[in-house]
Amino acid sequence: MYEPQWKRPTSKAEALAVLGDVGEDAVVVAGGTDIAPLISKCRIRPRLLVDISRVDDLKLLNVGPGSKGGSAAIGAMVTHGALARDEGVSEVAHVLAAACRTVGAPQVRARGTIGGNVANASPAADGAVALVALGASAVVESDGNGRREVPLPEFFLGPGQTVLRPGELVTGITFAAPSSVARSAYRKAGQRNALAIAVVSVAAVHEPEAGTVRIALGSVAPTPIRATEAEKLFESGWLDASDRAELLGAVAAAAARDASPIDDIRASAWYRTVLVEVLTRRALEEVCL
Amino acid sequence: MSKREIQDGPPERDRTAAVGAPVKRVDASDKVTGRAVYLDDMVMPGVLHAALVFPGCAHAVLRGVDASAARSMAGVRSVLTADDIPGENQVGVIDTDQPLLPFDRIRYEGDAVAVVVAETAVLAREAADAVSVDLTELPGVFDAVRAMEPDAPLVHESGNVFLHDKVRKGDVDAGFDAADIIVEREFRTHHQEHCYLEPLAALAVPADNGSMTVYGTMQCPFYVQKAVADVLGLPLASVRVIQTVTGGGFGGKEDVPSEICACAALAAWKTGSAVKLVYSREEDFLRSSKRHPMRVTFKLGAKRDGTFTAAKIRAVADGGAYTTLSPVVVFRAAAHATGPYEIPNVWTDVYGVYTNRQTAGAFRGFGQPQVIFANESVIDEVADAIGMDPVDIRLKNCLDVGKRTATNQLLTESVGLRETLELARELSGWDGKRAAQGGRGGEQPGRASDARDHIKRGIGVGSIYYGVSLGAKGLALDGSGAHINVYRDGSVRIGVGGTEMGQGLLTVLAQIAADSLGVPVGFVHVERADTSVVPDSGPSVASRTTLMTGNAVIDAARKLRTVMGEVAADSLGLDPSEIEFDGGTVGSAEKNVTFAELAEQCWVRNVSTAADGWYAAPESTFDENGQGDAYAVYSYATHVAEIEVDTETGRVTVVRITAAHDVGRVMNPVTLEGQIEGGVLQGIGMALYEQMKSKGGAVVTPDFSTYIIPTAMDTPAIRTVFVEDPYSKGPFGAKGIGETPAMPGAVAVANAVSNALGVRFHELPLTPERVRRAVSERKNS
Repeated sequence: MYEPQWKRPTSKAEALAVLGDVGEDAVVVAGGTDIAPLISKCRIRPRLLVDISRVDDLKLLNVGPGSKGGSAAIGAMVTHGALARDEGVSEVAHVLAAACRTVGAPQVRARGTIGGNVANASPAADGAVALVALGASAVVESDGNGRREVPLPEFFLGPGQTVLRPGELVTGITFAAPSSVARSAYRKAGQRNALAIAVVSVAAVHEPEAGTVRIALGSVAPTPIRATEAEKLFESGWLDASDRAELLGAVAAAAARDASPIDDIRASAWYRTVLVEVLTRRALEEVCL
Repeated sequence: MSKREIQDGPPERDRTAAVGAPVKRVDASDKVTGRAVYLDDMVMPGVLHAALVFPGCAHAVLRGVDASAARSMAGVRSVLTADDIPGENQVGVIDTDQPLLPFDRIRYEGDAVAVVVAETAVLAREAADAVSVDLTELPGVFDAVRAMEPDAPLVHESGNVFLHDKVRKGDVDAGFDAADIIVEREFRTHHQEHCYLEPLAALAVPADNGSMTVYGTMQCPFYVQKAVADVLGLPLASVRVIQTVTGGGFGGKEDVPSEICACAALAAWKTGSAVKLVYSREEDFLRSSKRHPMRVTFKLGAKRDGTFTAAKIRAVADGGAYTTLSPVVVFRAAAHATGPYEIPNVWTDVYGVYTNRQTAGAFRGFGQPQVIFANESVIDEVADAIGMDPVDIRLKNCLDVGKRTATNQLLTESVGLRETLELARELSGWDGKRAAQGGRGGEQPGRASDARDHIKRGIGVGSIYYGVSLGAKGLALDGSGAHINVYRDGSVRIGVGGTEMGQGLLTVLAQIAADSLGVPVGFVHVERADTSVVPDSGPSVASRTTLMTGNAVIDAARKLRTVMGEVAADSLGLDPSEIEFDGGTVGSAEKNVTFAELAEQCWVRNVSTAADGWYAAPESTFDENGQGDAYAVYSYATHVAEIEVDTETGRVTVVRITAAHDVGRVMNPVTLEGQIEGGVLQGIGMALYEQMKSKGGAVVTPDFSTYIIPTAMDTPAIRTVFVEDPYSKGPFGAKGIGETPAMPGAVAVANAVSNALGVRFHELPLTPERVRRAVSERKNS
């Protein structure tokens, strides 16, 4: 009968040591909101579950007015609910707070963590899409090999696949905080207003002084992606644009070309392409005009 | 004496204290505090756990089941297949085409071929996965229209078309000749899942002398009793079925619990131990019945003044792999297909067709929401074509006392449809909004209009009627019993055959009993259904339970008043005709005793204070041409939906629903409002979100993350309003309410979206993608 082992370290060092010992048979449980359904539906049968929910040194949240223009850091065990409520996050990285507010329902937001959202590597992950737009990196640590920071687009390899090696743990997220005049927005289309997986999501961060924008797209590729051609089009024309609304429309259309969606149970590729353009335009209108 | 001759007339008491009052639900405290014991909460020492073996294909020849690996696992007690069934391998409630455990053919993905019994539920599941099944897959048929073609794979040897109900009234060709405008369209609806909170579950306990007691979450204990007795080869008296607290039904727990209860009972019979079987949500989605997908062609003719002249309807219902309750659903769809309007010439054909998809059965509305989507859509198109307001065209044609239904039934009383239309029109502000909104971008108070050009607003209406109880094709089931026991302290306990499934029956019956005996509601305790207490009382379906069981309670109470009244008259020195039961006292204004004192006097005198009540439905008819008094009485409702559409994303937001219902008599305004609100949400689910999808017979929306139902965050403002046009044979004038709230909402929403966009929709649900595509196509055309 399936009865996995259960370990519950209480410090980061202990967690890394446990993971270093057991290697690839272990599955890390943070909030458990993705792992628990997978286990109960018999999709995965890990031999060992490493519960890091009591690792308090992964719960630090250092995002606030002081981090503007500097470096922001979020511990892996910070929940969606905490990020959604945090005033510092809302001020410095509104897009992340806004994305976290759309995750699941209050119960899921109370348990689900930003580290889990990233490590789970769903192309639809709300927090991950916002973090990609913020230019964030995953902080990856292990017992033997120390610490590395991996920019998120490189961290994701495909649905459920990352560059994490056996024994490695996502311990946090770091990003250069946007400037004090930056504006950001998150737009999501789900199948309903709560408990909704993104059919398409768009995160945008606009730096008005630099005349740049970062646009991230969710659920339109195997991983959350940057809309790089759209960003280039924006950057090349924004500061001198005579009709800014028209430019945003063109940038949104370029974002739709950056996407490579598929047909699935939630929507067709055609509809996702439509949504990318609409949501990107709306997000850009919100942060640029 | 046949049971239909012993019914009595209308209730003679019209003085009410409890009926009509917002009495708190008797089960509210237990449910909100977690004290209520649902089936899976039941603890029993030594209980074993069962799990089912699903071959996981939709159509196959079954060659064998090899359970040797499972049997050898530690803790596994037994693996049962069709060969182990001592009685009949049959659970079909109407036809006998559904084996409990298939032995030669697999007909859909939910067919289970073996029951594994083990010491824990996890072990039972693992052992079930270790059972290997030898199959030869067959080509399947997954579309009902395709299944009607001569070369389609056969699901049963008897042929795929297993039902055809028709209505022939007047001369339909002459009716269309007389029409100034004719609109004909085809409509499609899909599988809808009940999504009750509590999945199916059963506990079977072997009892004395080879008898069996079965507990379960269910709507119809007498169906379960029959199925268990048949499968075990026991007399009905040896099978006792007790309904546990039931977390929702909506039709999904009408006949389907017979399967899970019979599996548990078979396992308990074989092992001699109590056996529990609880479905996961995924198993429940797989194995429970669904709302029939229907393809409906609707042709309606009308005069330029809006008078309907003829309707021709052809509907094909996908019944899935087995008959289950399709005969009732198809009959009801046929009888009601024209909608609640007087149409002189009607030609209706409704077919029930087997496919290798999930079984379709009872679901709130019983086949009507599908045909309602068709008839209420076409009426709007006719109204548009002749430039008439949709509410006006409905008022012009709506049923009323003195009018005749499609089955040519003359309506003689309790027809509140016109009032529901008028109230819904007034309370929703229909006239102003319809004129202002249709198809235009709108301003909304409190919101800037400049950024909202892509938002269109719309308002739509849907009206329905619903034949209460089982009607002409269910007469044999249409009686209901109650047993009242008054104890010597005046407290009252009532046993019934109707079931509480969350709709508030126990509370309403307590109110009826309280007023019938002239005691406070607090004196009365109503027990959940138990087959050992009352005669077979039929199912709790078809909006029949308040009417049927309520009248049975009134009948038993009347008998008790007679017996106890004689004792009171004797002890008080009054004539029995002077005795009144009211407010907890019995007698006259001058001379009386408390009800409790009277109960004690009866006890002292050895006078029985228990009584049985019975109510049987009046006769109804439906001849081979679909003509007759199909149902004794009808409930009516009109919903008005107000919506906003985002034309860029296709997303529809329901802003407000105004729901007007003719219920005969309001028994409890709070529980009634709750029933209507829940139904409104199911209607919105059908309109916008819900579709159980499958590919090659395999369900691809097996859980709540893929099968989308509305949440609290998708719930609009809901305004409910009641019309009370009493029914002379109803308890205190009441008719049924169970089904009607889920019926008009879906088409009202669809009509509102059409109003906003100027595009008609012929398929549900109106997902954002479907709506967005329609916007694109309109632009391109």
